Amino acid sequence: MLARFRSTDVAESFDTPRVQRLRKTAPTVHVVGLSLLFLIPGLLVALAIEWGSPTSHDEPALLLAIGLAATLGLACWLPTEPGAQLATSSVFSSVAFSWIACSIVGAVPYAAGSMFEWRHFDSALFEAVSGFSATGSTVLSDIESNGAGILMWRQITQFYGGMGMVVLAVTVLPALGVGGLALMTAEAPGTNSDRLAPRVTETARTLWKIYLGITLVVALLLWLIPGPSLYDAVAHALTTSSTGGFSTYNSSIGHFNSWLVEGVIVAGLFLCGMNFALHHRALRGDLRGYTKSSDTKVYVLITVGAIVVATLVNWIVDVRDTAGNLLDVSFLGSLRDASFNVVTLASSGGFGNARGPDSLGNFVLWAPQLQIMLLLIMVIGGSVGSTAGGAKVFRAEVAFKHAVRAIRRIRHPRGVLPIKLGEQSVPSDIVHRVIGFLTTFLLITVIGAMLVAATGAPVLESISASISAMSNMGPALGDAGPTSNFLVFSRPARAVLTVLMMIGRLELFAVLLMFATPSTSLRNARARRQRRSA
Amino acid sequence: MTGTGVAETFVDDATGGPARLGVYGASIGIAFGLSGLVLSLATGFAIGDNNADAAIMFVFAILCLGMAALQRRRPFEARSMRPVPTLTAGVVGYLVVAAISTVVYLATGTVDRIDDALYESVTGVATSSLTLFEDPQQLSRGVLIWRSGTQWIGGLVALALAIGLLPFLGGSRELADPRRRGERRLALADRPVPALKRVAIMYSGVTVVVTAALFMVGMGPTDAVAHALSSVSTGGFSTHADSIAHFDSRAVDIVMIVVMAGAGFSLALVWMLYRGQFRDTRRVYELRVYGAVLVFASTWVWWLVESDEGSGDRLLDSVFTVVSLSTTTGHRVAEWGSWHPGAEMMLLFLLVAGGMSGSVAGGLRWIRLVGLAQFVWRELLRQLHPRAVRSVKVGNSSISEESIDRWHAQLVLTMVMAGTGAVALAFFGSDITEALTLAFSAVSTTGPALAEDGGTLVHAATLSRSDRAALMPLVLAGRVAITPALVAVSVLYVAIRSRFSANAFRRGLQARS
Repeated sequence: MLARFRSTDVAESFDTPRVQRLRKTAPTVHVVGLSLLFLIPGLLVALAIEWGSPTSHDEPALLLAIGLAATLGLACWLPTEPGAQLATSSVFSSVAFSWIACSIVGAVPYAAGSMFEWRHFDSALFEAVSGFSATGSTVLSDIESNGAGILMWRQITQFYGGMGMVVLAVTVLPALGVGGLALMTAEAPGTNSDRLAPRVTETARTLWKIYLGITLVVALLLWLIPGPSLYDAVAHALTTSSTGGFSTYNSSIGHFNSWLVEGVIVAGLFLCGMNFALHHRALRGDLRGYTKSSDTKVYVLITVGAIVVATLVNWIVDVRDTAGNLLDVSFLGSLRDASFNVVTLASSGGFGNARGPDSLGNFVLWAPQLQIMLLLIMVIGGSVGSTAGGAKVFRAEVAFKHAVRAIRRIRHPRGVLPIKLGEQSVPSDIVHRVIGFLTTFLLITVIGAMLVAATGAPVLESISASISAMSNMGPALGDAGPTSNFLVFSRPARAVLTVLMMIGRLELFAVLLMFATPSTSLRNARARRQRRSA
Repeated sequence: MTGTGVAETFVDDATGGPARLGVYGASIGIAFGLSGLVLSLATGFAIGDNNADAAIMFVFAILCLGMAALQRRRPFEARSMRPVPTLTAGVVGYLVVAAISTVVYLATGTVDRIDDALYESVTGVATSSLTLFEDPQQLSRGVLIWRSGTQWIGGLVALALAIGLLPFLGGSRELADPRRRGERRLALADRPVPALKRVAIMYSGVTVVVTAALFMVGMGPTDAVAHALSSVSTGGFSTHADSIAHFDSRAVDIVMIVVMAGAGFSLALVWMLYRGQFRDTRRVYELRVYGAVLVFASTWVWWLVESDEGSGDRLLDSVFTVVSLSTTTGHRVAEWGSWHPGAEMMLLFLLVAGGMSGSVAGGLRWIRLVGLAQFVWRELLRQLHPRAVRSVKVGNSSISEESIDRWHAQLVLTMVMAGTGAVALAFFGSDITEALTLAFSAVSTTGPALAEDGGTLVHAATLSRSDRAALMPLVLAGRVAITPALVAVSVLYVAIRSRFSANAFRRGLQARS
């Protein structure tokens, strides 16, 4: 069985039911194997850093993960071929199962090392899923007590997750004969809105280059700024470009207490919350893309508007610390904290810049109306074609215009009322997809919030954590704010949030349809058995 | 509908006879008529308790009935029942009742400030239970009846609006035959006007029966009438500060559960039951969903509350609270705001979801939620089979894409309106939980919410005037299912624009010259 087979050859020579069944499941297994193999470079980098660290020695844990990734990856990859064409159901299965497999293997260094005990593998899995889904929520109460290598692995998981490991897979899939378009539309941002190149692999490469470019620039700028070391710069660049939000410090970006560092992070997050296709065009000299794109304009409008409102309200209204004392808020201080927190939430980054629980950077101290505004920003998220999470600006815009059209239709029952974004009309098929997506998003968020609340978490924390997980945001409101962690939730609640993070990252449908291929296979097998017995 | 269009409905026709009554006139006439009737009832209760109130209410009753009689003399122009005027007229009807109620509260001295009187009136006609009065027992009997009566009128106008909408809005065929939703046929009558009459008779009949039932289980006459009026309308005003908990009677609780659950039924379903078509009701898909939701939610809440408190006697409280909030009534037997968070969350979801379509209850309605869930399922399957043609089905009926569009629009508008309201409430001083839950509760016309300091927010006395001002448009929009409110606003905007535009000004100058 370890001998590789090509689906076309097999189909010609051994067209038996058993082989047919094997061929059907092969694409999913193949992609899962490939994804696991892609973890190895990241794990090796983390291992090298851990080796050089004088304070911690979690090398065995990382070696175990490397061994596991290599063994499982090769076992899945070698004996299978994806076939000439990838069925839609297989695409969803591939994406979702890849993510789950990577999260499980990615959690091994945490559980086998000193971060968690094996009996708390669920916490390790939460941390890994939070990483691969670029969410940024954590269950670590003391991040800095962990080794440099393990923490770097934590950052790397977000880098993998940001643009989608499937995109990485797509860059090499042509050599394996896989048509990657289906994979791209299922998971990766960027192709739905703008095709950058005629072939999807070229598109993927282009997106990957932009992603890597932004990461390098952010790392370089952070390194040049006084404060962060090279390690810090790289670690935070990895989670900035992926809009992940993991940090190697307990107080996140607040550790540096530097407006320059915050400025670089804000710029990086803001760019990564925009459509990468527009960055590509801009690099080729066409800057008009930014002004033409309705999606980008609304994203900028929401972000800038929210910054202005938050700055003014925090400056004017009395803000009190956790003990009830009045905070001394200057206009520039308010502008700095408002800019950082609004951008980090609009781009689903999830970093914190609080210099302690009683500083203005802790947005749970802000006025309630601002916190509700932040909650709405969390739901909307960034642009389509970015690494940001959330429902996406494009979808929110379409849904709102669709609702307004319903009112206009009552007044003009026979009128032709297209939904327009900029100068372009949105086809009704897309409108229906958007409606379907948003309704699913809402349904799952509500169910998630109810389940989290059923474990005993307060209502506000349940709702905001559920929204945060679905939008891949990171912090929530109340006791799960930016200076806290998700240890405030019980283990069952964290299990629910883990699932929500996964669903949110894979744009809902991939996870919901991940069992389509296995169930079809089972149904076919049952039908075959019935035919045989008949 | 333009500003001139609105005006045309009140202008005499060319023949010189009495002007035909358009939808606006009819709506105003109905509002006056109903207010007059309820004021007459309230006058009866006020006599002997507070004669000054009785006299004032009697005068207002005569005035209102007189206004209604004047309108009644004019022949109704059925052709005026076009979508936009009908929607707008419904909103106008609500505003007229609220205006009458405001004047009554001020004239009787129940409240001193006009904004307080307006708040209590709007809350009343919008059938929200978030009253201004901390202890309603301090009010006179007549005012208590009038207060509940405004909710009763609000419920009836909501049903009238649904009937008025029926011929125009396929997506809002709330009173269509629930067994044959695809056919857009009224279950109660073939045409809107006879259907409206039957609805009014049924609504009144049910109110009388409920009053008798409550009286029989131990309530006094005032309590029985007031609670009947506020329960069949899913209003929730009570004559006591602790609502139904005041009576401390299982019999009262059970009767109220039945009444509130019935108020969450589609009126078409009630009509079927009235006509003895019991077997047919089993085929009504939404009823099965609604019943399943009530059973599941009651069990869920009971389990969580018992696991939290372990008192062993919370079953009836759980069922009562689930039914009260899922029908957006708002009556209370327990402080559900201090229950287990999971139970609170379920209750909040239920009040947003609301009752059955075609019922007096507010909220999104279950048929729409089920339809949207089916739509989501269809979209999921379309990811796998992009070329497959599948319709969205609720039960055995196919739902048109237009209806799905409208239901989704309703969902989005509800979220936008509640979100905006929550921001406003938070701006005026509420904390996040209170602002969010209060906004959603208001949009669904329920009333109670989770209080800032824990527990349940059951009256608006502790809210600021700004909070109450922010709540008024929310409850009113929620009562008329949001869309008509927004249509009315757009009509008003167009009317004002056409009245004050440069062209209109020029035309005015020309006419004067």
